[in-house]
Amino acid sequence: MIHEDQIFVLSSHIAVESFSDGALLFMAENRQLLEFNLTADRILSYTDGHHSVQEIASIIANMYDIPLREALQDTMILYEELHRQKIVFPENPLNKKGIMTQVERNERYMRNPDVGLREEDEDGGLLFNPDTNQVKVLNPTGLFVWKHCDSHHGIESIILKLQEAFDDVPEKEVRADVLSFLEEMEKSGFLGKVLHE
Amino acid sequence: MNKGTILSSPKQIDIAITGRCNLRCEYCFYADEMVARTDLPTQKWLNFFEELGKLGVMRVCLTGGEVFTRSDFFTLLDGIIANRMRYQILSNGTLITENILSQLSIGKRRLRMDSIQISIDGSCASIHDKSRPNSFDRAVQGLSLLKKAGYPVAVRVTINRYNLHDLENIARFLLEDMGLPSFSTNEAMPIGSGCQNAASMSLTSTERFQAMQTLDHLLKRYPGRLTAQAGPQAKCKAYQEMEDARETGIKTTRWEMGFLTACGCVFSTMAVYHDGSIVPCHMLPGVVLGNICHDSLKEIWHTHPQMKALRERRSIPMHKVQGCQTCEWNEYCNGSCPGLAHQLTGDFNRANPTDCYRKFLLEKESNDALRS
Ligand code: SF4
Ligand code: SF4
Repeated sequence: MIHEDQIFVLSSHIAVESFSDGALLFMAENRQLLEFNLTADRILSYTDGHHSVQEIASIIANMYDIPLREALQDTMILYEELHRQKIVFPENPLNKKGIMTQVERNERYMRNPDVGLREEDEDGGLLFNPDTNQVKVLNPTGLFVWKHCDSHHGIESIILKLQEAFDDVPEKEVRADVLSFLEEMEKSGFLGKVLHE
Repeated sequence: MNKGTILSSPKQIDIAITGRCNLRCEYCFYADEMVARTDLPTQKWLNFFEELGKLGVMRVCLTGGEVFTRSDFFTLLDGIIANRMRYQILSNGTLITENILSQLSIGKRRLRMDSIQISIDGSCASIHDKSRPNSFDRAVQGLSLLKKAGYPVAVRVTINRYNLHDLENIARFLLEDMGLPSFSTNEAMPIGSGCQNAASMSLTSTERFQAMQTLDHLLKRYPGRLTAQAGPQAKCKAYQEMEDARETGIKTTRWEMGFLTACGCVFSTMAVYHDGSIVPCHMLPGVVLGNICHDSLKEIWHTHPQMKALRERRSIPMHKVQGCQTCEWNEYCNGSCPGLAHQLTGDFNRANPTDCYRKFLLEKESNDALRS
């Protein structure tokens, strides 16, 4: 479900070409071309990781002189579809506006001490929470982040170390990936946030 | 993954934590081992659990002997829990009391339990006690206590000559009177003390066929509530799949036909005896790979020639297996459990004779002919 406060970014696999009456969108992953009308093109142009759904809807309402409620509804329907097709994805709230506060940068995580790790060499690893019987498969970068959640490394330092260790990780996506990984791992009880004194 | 497709360490270890038992079951497959080996002290096990924790082993299955004869049982359990593992218990149920239950509820002991399995071999004492002497009332009492307290309890019925004709009553007793969601079956094997008592305990092919028919009928009455990994119910399904494959030319996708593929355990599990001996599986007592007191489990898992040989068994086609070369079923068979094959023939690259479909058909035919 899309909500009004959400902020979206375009997937890095997408190229948009705008024309006077709309836009053509090229999806590199499946080599598909999609056609969009002018309104959708405008919405895409504001999908920059800065504007929330609500903000974009009010720009559209002003631009076309339509009621905000209607613009909001159209924008949300479009995002729903774009999200389903993996053309856009929600920006992590921590990364809102592209900047983290100093506190967020230094946020530290620690591993749930009851979780066991099976390292499967170059394939990454497998986490097992014996309390919940939950299993999580980690790819090599996930394993790297997991190992650095030692309650000493802050988020920013983990991201830097990850970039140093894996040169093939696309820089643009690292931050968003690490943040959503940490958020998901915290939600599922594999990691905990270190409380500030 | 390096080292072929082998996991970095086993996911599960089956551990016989004691060779002591308060019963003397007629078919006990562990009887010979119980006499030949001695129990390890507490600390040795705790060290081993620490090793397992470091390897990321996820669960252990605790068996014996009877696990509750160990006075340090809960110390061992806490060692397992401290090393981030879950556990399962196989028990005869006779030593389970209110006191055991209250101990089981302490800390994370209950949370980490996958299941506790109790053996019940009859619907009443006169049948159960024939194979498991003087134990029915206590086993049922233990089972009731566990069930009432909401533990994940399971029941295993070992089909033998004494209870073959009691199967319907057993199902009624367990599923209706006791209200269990399901139970599992297997079959008494001519190994351990079952070896000496083979004649009186093990099923003949005709009896096995009767068991299959009864189980089939029970499955219609209680759909999905009788399960089996081995024994007549599992064999019946496998034989049916062999018949279907031979008739239609379409092989099952549930298991790989035509090769010695029956055992997948060597890719995920290992076992340990109560003296610390490491074996690929409790069904392979003759294949001792080392001892937990002085050998590294991980090393054995990856490099022991016997482990490698057991894994390579899967690539041996049935038409090259001794005794199976000319069998018309060899393209559809998998030779069944290597443990039993090894114990009965001394070679794990052979088919298990007790599960051989050709033998089953021949024996059944001649028995039927004799009768008529
Ligand atoms: S089968 Fe189990 S309960 Fe029976 S004697 Fe053997 S170890 Fe004991
Ligand atoms: S002889 Fe028995 S075990 Fe061997 S292939 Fe035939 S049916 Fe299978």
